[in-house]
Amino acid sequence: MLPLSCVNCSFNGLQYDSVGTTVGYCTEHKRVLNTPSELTCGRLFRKDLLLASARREQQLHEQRFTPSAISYLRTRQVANGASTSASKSDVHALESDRVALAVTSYGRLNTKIESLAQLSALDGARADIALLSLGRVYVRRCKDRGGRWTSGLHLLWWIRARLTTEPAIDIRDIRIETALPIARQIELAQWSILMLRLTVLSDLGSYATEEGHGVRALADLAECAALETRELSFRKLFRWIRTTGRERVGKALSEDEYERLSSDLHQDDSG
Amino acid sequence: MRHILYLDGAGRETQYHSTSEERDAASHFAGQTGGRVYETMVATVQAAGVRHISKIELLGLLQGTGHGDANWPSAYEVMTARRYVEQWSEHLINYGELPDDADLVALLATIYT
Repeated sequence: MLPLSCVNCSFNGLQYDSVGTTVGYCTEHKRVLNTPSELTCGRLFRKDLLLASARREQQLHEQRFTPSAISYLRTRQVANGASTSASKSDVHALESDRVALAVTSYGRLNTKIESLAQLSALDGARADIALLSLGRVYVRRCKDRGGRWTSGLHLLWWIRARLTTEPAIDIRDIRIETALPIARQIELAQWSILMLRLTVLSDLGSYATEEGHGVRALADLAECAALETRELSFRKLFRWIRTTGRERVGKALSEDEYERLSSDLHQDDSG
Repeated sequence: MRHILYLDGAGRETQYHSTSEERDAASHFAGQTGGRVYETMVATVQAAGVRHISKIELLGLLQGTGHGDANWPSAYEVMTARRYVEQWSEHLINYGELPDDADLVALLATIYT
């Protein structure tokens, strides 16, 4: 049931698929996840699904698992102290890593967008995973609270900036043992991260559709990429992004429009 | 598709069992607390009158918007399912063709050790 576990939840920015740290961190429950593949809660927002499916599955999951505590997937019982930790020493242990520092800081003292900005400046696949995972749920929550798609404006711009950058996976970032050759394992992980970028852009497109903005053209970006590449090939997907994907994103939000909307946002903040 | 992607969540109704040809993958899913790995062989499954769908067959079905029983409205989700099958060396056991009155408890005891 790994897809239903904290490993696959957007509130855990430290892991996705085979890539990440050994332990996870839940930004909702503010706990280190010692055995994340065995844990879940009713807030699960799956990284591996597009917006409509992720929303539907979250609602179903919430009927079976409480949102208020982390539970064991297998038994549905609330997890004990051996499986999660909120101790300062455990959190500090994570903070020697720059990505983990930004993730564990996320949400403390109302600094969510600052944490995302920090992550956007970091290189590497794990920074990608953290930025995309936490950014995804940041915008969803803003929308759920009546906000506009432009709560993800900077996120869109940061993803656009790294869209044609190959996800750099350090061999030490692979966190599981499988029989797959390591080169293929890395390729699958890179594919997943590219798709996660497109998934978050598609989310923003869906939100913009509700508001009638031109970014709505991105709503089917991830689906189109899968349909047009057809193969589970990182190289093929990366080529599609460098040509079709980049052009579509550029058309959906020009630099002038970004600056105008950004200026509007700052006026809203100071007004 | 619904089964491989775990759509409808934990406790969902499904006519399939996921299995893996790799013990490491099975151990990973079994986890550290309370899970265990069961073993079987393709010949055992087939001798019990149950259909085995191999990883190769699954990978063949999971292309584009999926073929046969794997036909699905989203190419993205088909590709994600394909990633899981490849990553976990997944095979399926399909109980959907058994008669309604089949004794599943006895059958499972025959298939798995």
